[in-house]
Amino acid sequence: MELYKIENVDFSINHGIVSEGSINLILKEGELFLSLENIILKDEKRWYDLPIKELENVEVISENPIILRFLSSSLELTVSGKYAERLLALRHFLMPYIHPKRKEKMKDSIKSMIKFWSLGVRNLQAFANLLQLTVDEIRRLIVFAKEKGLISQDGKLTDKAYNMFSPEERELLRNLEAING
Amino acid sequence: MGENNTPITFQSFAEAISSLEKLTKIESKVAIALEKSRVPWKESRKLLKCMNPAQISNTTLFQFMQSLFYQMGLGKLEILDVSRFQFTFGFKECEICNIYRSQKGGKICFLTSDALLRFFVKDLDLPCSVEETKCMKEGHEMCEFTVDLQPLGVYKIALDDIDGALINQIINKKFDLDKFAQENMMENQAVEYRLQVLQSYQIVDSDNKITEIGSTYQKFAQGLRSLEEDFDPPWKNLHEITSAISAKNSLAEALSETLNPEPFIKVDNSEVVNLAEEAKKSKSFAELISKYMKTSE
Repeated sequence: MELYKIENVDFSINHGIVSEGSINLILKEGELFLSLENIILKDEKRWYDLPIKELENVEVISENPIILRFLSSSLELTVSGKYAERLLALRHFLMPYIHPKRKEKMKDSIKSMIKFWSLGVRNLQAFANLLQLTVDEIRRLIVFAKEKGLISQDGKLTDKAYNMFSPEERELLRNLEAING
Repeated sequence: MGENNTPITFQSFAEAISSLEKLTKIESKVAIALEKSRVPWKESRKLLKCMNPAQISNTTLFQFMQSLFYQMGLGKLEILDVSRFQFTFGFKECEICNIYRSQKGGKICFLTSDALLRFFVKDLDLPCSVEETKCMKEGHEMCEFTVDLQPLGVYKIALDDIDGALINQIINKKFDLDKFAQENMMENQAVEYRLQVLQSYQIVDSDNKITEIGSTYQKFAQGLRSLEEDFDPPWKNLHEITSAISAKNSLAEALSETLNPEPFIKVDNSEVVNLAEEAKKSKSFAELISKYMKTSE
């Protein structure tokens, strides 16, 4: 098969979809290639491929230095390289194959809902107006947040909710929730 | 394969790679343009307070955006619609669509979505999500993108100290339009416009009474507004941005030839480990590690 070299990279391979705190299997130095149907990685000894049709998402997990995460249902590849524009262009080249928008939108809505919760907003209609969702959708988001342990039964945001945000945002949200009781 | 999307089609591998290389060049220009285009809140505020596309077209910020996105090589930017927390932009002569010449159907302008997202988040300090809603590849006249702003980010920037004073007087039931206009040396019409903006953000209701959102906002407004920095808008140095984009473009071409002199190679399929298949066959993380370690020996 014919390959095109994208960039010299460091890469790691993880099993399954793992959330934050995933264990890097091995960090290797190698090269990243593209074929018509596959993403190919090469280290000193071997070639590894991930078929493009298996991709479920390509995320930027760090901008500086650039780190991309390629997700399939069964594994994830993490790749970093020196030239951000090459990896970002590859991401944009691959994105038309996949459609992760819905999942991202749900996560964004939950984060926004949590921010307003910390400000003391509880009125469903106010939430709906602020988040541009229906009251039913807001009700489902709140139920989901409680089921997932983001909001405790007594209506307080949990550590799990705060951990969805950066340290700076986390501190601000904790202060806001404290002010609002 | 994802819902809603037609798989990308190319006549040949060479055409696919040519498309990737063109995307890489645009990506370089986007990076340098965005790096130098941070906009002060006082300018973003003017954009956020606009109530229709005509008002937006007249802002210096939007005219700067038109120039910036054109120089990035993304096409001619237009504003199509604006509502409380949403802008709809269009791109005519979309270069991304030109790159995928053989493609029929599907929404493919992810680079443009991402450039808009990065501009709003990093340069305007407005957290948002961006989605392409129409694409020329689907037969539309232009590619269209909706920018959904996070309300907290909008509130942080959109309202200034005068709005704060106005909200305070409404909360304390001391608001008098004539008196407020006189105190702040503005026409009554300008105060009415500010009230309209507050209504559109649901800070006050249609009777100019404070809402739950309004009272919550006012509790924290002082702290949020104190984060505002004052600096020159980027259009004062547009020439510098233009030169940097040209220089970056030439450098990217030179680097591409130096670092990747022979980018095409061939490899036998039998030499390649299919990671996805191996992972599916492995029952556990430990098993995959074991297999992976064996293949690495």
